[in-house]
Amino acid sequence: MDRNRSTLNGKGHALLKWAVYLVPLAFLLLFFLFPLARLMVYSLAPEGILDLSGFTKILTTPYYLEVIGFTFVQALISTGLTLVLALPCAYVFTRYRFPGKSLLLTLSTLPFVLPPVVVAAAFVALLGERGLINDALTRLIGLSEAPLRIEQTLTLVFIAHVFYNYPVALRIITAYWATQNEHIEQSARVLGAHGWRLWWRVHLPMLRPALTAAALLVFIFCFTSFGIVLILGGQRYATIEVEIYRQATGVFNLQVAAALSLVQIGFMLALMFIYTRLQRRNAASAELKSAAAVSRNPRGWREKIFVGINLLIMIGLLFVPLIALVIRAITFGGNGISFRYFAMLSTNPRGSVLFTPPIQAIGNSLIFASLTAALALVLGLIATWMISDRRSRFASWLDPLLMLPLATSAVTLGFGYILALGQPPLNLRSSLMLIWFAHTLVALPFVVRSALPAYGALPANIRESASVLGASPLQRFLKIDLPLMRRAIIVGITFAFTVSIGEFGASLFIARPESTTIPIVIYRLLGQPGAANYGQALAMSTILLLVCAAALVIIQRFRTPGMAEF
Amino acid sequence: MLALNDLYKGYGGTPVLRGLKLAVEDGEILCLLGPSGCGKSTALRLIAGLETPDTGTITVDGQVIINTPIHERGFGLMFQDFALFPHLNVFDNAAFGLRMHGIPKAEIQRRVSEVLELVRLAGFEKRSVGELSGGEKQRVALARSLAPEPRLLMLDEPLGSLDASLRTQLIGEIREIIKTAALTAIYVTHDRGEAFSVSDRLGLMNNGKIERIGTPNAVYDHPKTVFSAAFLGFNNLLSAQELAALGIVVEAPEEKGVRLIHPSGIQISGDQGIAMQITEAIFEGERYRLQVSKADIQLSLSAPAAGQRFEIGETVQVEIDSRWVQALSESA
Repeated sequence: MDRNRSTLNGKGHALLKWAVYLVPLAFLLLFFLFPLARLMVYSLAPEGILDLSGFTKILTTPYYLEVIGFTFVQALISTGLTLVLALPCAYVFTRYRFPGKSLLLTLSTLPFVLPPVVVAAAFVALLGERGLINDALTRLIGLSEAPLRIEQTLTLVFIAHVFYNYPVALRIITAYWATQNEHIEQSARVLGAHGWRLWWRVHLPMLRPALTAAALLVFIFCFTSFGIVLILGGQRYATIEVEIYRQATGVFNLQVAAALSLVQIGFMLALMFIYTRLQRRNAASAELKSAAAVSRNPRGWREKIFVGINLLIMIGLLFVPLIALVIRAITFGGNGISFRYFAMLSTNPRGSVLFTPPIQAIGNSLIFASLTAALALVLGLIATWMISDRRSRFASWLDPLLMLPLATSAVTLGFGYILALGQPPLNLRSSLMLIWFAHTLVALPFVVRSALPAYGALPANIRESASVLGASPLQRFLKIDLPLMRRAIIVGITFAFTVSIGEFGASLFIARPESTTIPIVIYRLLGQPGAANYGQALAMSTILLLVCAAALVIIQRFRTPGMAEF
Repeated sequence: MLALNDLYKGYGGTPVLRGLKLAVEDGEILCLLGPSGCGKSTALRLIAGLETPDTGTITVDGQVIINTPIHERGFGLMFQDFALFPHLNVFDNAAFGLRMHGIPKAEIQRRVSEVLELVRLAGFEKRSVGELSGGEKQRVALARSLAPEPRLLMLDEPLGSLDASLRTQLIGEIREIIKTAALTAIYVTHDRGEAFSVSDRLGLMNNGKIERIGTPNAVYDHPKTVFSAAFLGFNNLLSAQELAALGIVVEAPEEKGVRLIHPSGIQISGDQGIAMQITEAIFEGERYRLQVSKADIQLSLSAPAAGQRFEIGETVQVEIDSRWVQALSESA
């Protein structure tokens, strides 16, 4: 039966409702669509008349074509590496039972919430020239210089990309594999398939939907990689994202930067289109699976070694760099544990790349993150309300519109802000609000994805009881809906807080010296020579790592299994 | 007090209410009884304001309330699943309506204690509703509905989710509580026994309309329509010819309609009566449920066991009181 969730009568209520509804719409219009539109217009007509020289420059200069080519190739290689490493591990997680399995799976979500600056710092701390491994090797063997020289090379970029995407691929493949009929593999074995033929003829074809979905998603992530390539790739390499940033802020070639942004938006739309088409087809072809795989203990030394190697790869890839970061931050440049670089964060030595002591950036970041969480919560709840309002037609277009910031690269967004909001009629260039709004925009999808299912799961009878007992729609929202959605709200604002505190791409464009945030300070410190800068970068990254890890604990503690749509 | 005038309501083209008319008097407990899908719960939802009728009006004391928002109607509604607020304790659940109306704290305290006393839950104030038994939850839901002293209390299958023994115990209790609180109430159920014991007046619903309305006794004694008789479990429906074949004289035998031999007018007698053969005998402890037949005419009746034993194939004397033979119409 089609029953409305509630009946809201009276003209006053309707007017108020529309006034409230306008808030998130106005926000999206002003701080998302307007900057992107401005960016587009600028790329096509920088002086007000049609001028496509930005595009012709891109298409005729070998350098820009190389950038685009590199963007594709590095994404392709990263995707390949990720899948090759994640697939056997997905098998281990699907088929075998072993101690610490669920803990490992939970911990493997950590990369989801880690900002690229922290990941870059972690790999520098482990594999960099002054990293833990080089440090150990020089001390042990007594070498005069570091034997491992992969800083500022593609190797480190690829490893970091695999770090980010390995858990994504692992989750997608494992979730799909767990629904597959175990008898298929057993039949194949009975029919004589084993070893690589079992993989080639049975596992891979069977997993194709999951593999293509995972591959495309990983490709999209790597294609838009900004922070990792910028920090770990050095001057020699640039993805489209990095090039937009360099053109816009390094050489002030705004026209080329805008044209590149449009090219990037085009690629992203195409990739997202393919991805959603693929997802729809996969959903349509999914059959009802019976006898889903049951995991068991590994038997025999071959199976045990297989499980062991995969778990070692996983731990080595995901956790060792983070542990190295913490160890390096408290041991660098001295014997034994010392917190001197943490202490140094509150000073502002002469000759520093920064205008303010790093500690101030921590304060800024905390303020921005709190404000972002608050604003994203308010906007997200109103949006949830709008999408769920069956008598309005918002649901069909507001939901995808709200997800769009996720598919828009942060660099494009930041650049759009500079172009659109840095000059009349709306000049907020010097306003601290720009960072706040940019972060809120990126955080909003997370709040909505968290709140929407929780709101939909509110029992209709309970809400109706409240109305009958005299609760106005607002009272019902405050006294019934909010308390019952408490867990989802905690998850949503924690996500928003984490997104804000780690946001790098947009902030790099928008932030001014007095509004510098933690990731930007880490980036600047990492780019400078000198032990003090290096030590402080590691100390700052460690702080950010701990904040994100704490956020993850909160998210895991409060999320309702099977409810969050991530 | 409350009047429903020609209410129509459909969902996606399927009509649920088709011209429902109903008047509820001040201070009475009116039961809406009917099979599932007859529209009785929908009627409650329309009265509460959770839905709006397609056509027709609802008035309270002559005032049309169709456009009054739910929360300003001042009614009470109790759901079958109780719909207690899981994040509030017993006291706060019961106090919810009073708080929404901005009642002063001391008054809330007094009133909540009073209703919790009434539903015999004094001392449960600080309990979480999650740890209550089914019966206790039902009482909290009742207390919560009673606390704001609603102009009209609606109960939608209030005992529906409780087990049978608890139900029998609570039926009398609910009536007593509503009467003590001196409320006007509409009580929706699909259970005949519950409806008879709880109501002052009973409306039998079928296909989105009232089929038969009256005091429980009147409805039981004179169901008047084929549907009402069948819903009440009366199945001795015969034509005038069949009655004549059994030697029963009926008024206006030329009329085509179906006649009901009311259960109150059929019994096993010692000697006089119609000789009929037992085709089915089910022993139920206190009574036997019997099927008897004569010349392809089947009748069912119930007879006190009282030490007797009825066997299939045995012939018994069935006495039919012609005063309890009623003509039924097809529908209201």
